Amino acid sequence: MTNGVVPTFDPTWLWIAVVASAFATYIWRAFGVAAARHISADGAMSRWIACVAYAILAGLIARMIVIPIGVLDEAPMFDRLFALSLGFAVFFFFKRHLIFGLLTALFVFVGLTVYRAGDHWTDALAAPAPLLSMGTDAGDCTAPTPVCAWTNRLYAVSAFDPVGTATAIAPGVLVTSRHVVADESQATIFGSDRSPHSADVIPTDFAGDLIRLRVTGSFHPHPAVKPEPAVLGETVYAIGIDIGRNAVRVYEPGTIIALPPTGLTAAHIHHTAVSGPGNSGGILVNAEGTLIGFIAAGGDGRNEAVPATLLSDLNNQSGPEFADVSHRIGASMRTCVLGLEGLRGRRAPVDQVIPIAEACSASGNRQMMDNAAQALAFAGDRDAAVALFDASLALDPNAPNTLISQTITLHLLRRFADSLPLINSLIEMLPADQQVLRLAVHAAKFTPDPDLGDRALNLLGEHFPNQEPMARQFLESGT
Amino acid sequence: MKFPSRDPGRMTAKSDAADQPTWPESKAEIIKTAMLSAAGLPALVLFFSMAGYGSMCRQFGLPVEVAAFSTLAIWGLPGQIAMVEMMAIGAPMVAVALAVTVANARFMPMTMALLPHMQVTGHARWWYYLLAQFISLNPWAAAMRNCPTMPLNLRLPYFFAFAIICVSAATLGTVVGYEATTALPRPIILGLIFLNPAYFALVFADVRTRSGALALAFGAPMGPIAHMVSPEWGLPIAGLVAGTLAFVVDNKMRDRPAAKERFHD
Repeated sequence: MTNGVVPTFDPTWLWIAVVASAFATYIWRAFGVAAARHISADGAMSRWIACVAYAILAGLIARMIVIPIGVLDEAPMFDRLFALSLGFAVFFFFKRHLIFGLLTALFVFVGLTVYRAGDHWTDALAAPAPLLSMGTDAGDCTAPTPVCAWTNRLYAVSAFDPVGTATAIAPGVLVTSRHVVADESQATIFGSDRSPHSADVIPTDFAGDLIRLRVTGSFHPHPAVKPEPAVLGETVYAIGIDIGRNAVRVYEPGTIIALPPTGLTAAHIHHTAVSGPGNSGGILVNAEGTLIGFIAAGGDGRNEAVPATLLSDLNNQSGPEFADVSHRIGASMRTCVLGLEGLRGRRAPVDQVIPIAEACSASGNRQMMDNAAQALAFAGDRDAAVALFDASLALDPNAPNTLISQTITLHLLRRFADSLPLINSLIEMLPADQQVLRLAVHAAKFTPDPDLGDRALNLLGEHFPNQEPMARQFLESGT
Repeated sequence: MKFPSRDPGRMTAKSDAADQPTWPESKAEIIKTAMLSAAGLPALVLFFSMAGYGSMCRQFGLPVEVAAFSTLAIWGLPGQIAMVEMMAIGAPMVAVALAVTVANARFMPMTMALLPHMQVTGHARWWYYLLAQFISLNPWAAAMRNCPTMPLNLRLPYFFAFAIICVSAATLGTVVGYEATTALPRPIILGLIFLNPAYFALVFADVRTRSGALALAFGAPMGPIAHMVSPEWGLPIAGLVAGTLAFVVDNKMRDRPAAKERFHD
C-alpha cells in the first residue's frame, strides 16, 4: 500500500466487505440474545447450550492446530502438536499453571520453526521493502486504465529460459509458462529494482503450459485474480516483459479468433493480440481489464494463451506429490528444446531427429510438438511430421499455426484433399490472413472444390486486392 | 479429578481459594477488578495473537485501517481469518460474508449460554444487544467462570470492563502486528499465530464443570474430522453433536450421587 503502488484492492469494496462480515457475525449474537430470554441460568436448556458452545470451541481450536488454514500450515503438523503437548505437560506438572504451559508451547514451537528454517530464519529482517513488479511505473501505457492496472502484477523471470514473464495471481504465488521453467526447481524473479529473488517451482502434472511459483520473504501482496472465460471476437491486450525495453509492456490489441473446445485442457485461446519474445507467462486481458489467459506461444501474428479459468485445475494438480511426473515433463522439455536448438540450420538425418521428436511429444507441449514436426518434415520424414501434427491437433483442434503447418506438409505430400477441412477451419478463423488465403488458393487448384477457390479469391479481393489477379491467373491456368 | 477454583477474575490456576470467591461490593471496585484481571494474561495473549492477524492482513494486502476496524467490528478471530482468506482468493462479497457467518456461528450458543447469567433487572433490553457485540472467547470464558458467583448488579459492569480491555488490547495488537510485519522473522510471525489456539487449548484444559469438560473432550476430536467432511458446516454440526452427547453423559452421571459431591456444577 506504500511506495505509491496502485492499490491492489478497491478500498470501498474492502470496507463494505468488513461491515458485511461484522453484520453477518452480529446476527448470531442478536439471535443468541433473543433466544436467551426464554432460558433460565440453572435449567437443563442452559447446560445443554453451554455444552454445545464448549464443544464448538474445542472443535474450532483443535481444527486450528490440526488443520490450520493459512500461514500456520507452513509449520509441520508434528511441530504444532509436539509444542502443544509439551505445553500441556508443563501446565499439568505445575498444577495447571497457565503461563508456564503457554510459554513452553510457544518457545518449543518457535524453536522448532527456527531450527527448520536453518540459516534463513532471519530472512524477513533482511528484506525491508517488498519486491515490486517491473510494471509498477509503466507510465506510458495507452490502453484503457483497467488494462494498464495489470502491469503491476508482472515480473521478469529467469529459469530454463533466460527471460520470461511471471504473473502474480495470489499473495506470494505467481504463474509462468511451463516451458520457461522446464525441469528447474527454482526460478529467479526480478522486480522493479532488478534485484534477484528466488522462487520455488511448485511441481505439477497439469497438461497446459502453466506452472506455479511461490515466493517467500518480502513480496508485494497481490490479491487473488478472478479469471473469466474468453469470448469469441472480443478485443484483447497482451501484457508481458518486453526483452528490448527490459520492462513490462502492454502491446497493441487484437481479437479472439478461436476458443478452446470444452474438455481439452491442453487447448488454448487463439488470438491476434501482438506479443513478443519474453512474454511467455504474461497475461491476456480484455478491454474491461478482465483476466482471460496466460501467454503461451505464437508466431506470425497468430498467438496462443492458456485459458486463465484453468488456474483452479492447475492449483488442484500442483504440490510436492507431483514432483516425479513434473520432473519427467520438465526433462522432456529440456531434451526437446536443446535437441531442436542443436539441429537449427542444418538438415539432420531422420534417425537423429526422431529421439528429439519423441522427447517433444512426451512433453505434451504443443508448441514443442509442432517444432519437432517441422524438424521431421525438414529432415525428410513428412509422414512422421503429419502424424506429429495430428497428435498436436488432437490436443487443440483449433490451433491456427499447427493447422497451417499441417496444411503445408500435406501439400508437400500432394495430399490436397486431406488439407481441405483444415483450410476450411482456418478461413473460418482467419478470413483476412494472407498465408491462409494463399494456401486455400493452392488447395483449390489441385482439388475439385470450386467453392473454395471462389471464396479464397473473394476474400483476397477484399483484403489484399493487389494479389487477387495473380491468384486468379494461377487458379485458372492449366495444371 | 477435582477442578480447582481460583481468585476472583484470575485466569491462572495458581491459587486454591475457597469455592465461593468473595467479590467487592461497589461497581467501581468490580470494574477495577475486571480491568486488572483482563489486563493480565488475557490482554497479553490477545495483543500478540491479534498481532499475528495484523501481520496476516498485511501479507494479504489489506490497508491497516481496514485491519484494525475488522478486529473492532467483527470481534471474533476465526471469522476474521476466514474473511481475509476469502478476500485473498478473490471471493465475491456474498461468499466472504457467508464464510464469516459460518466461522462465527458459535456466537449464538455462546451468547445463549452466557446471557442467563447476566439477566438482571434494571437494565434496558438494548444493553444485552450491546453486550452481545463484546462477546468473544476471552471475556466469555471469564464471565462464564466468574459471573455465576457474583452479585447480580455487578455482572454487567464486570463483563463490560473486562471486554473493553480485551478489545483495546486486540485492536492495538492488530495495528502493531501490521506495522511490525516486515521487521519480524518468519518463525516469530508463525509463533504469534500459533499463540491463539495454544492459549485457548490451555484455558479450556482448566474448565471446572464436568459438563464443560465432557463437551470439550468430545468436541476436540470431532472438530477436525468434521472439518474434513465439510469445511463450511462441519464445525457447527460437530459442536451440536458433541455438545449434546456431553449433555446426555453428564445427565447420566448426575444421577449417581457420588459424582454430585465432587463436581460443583
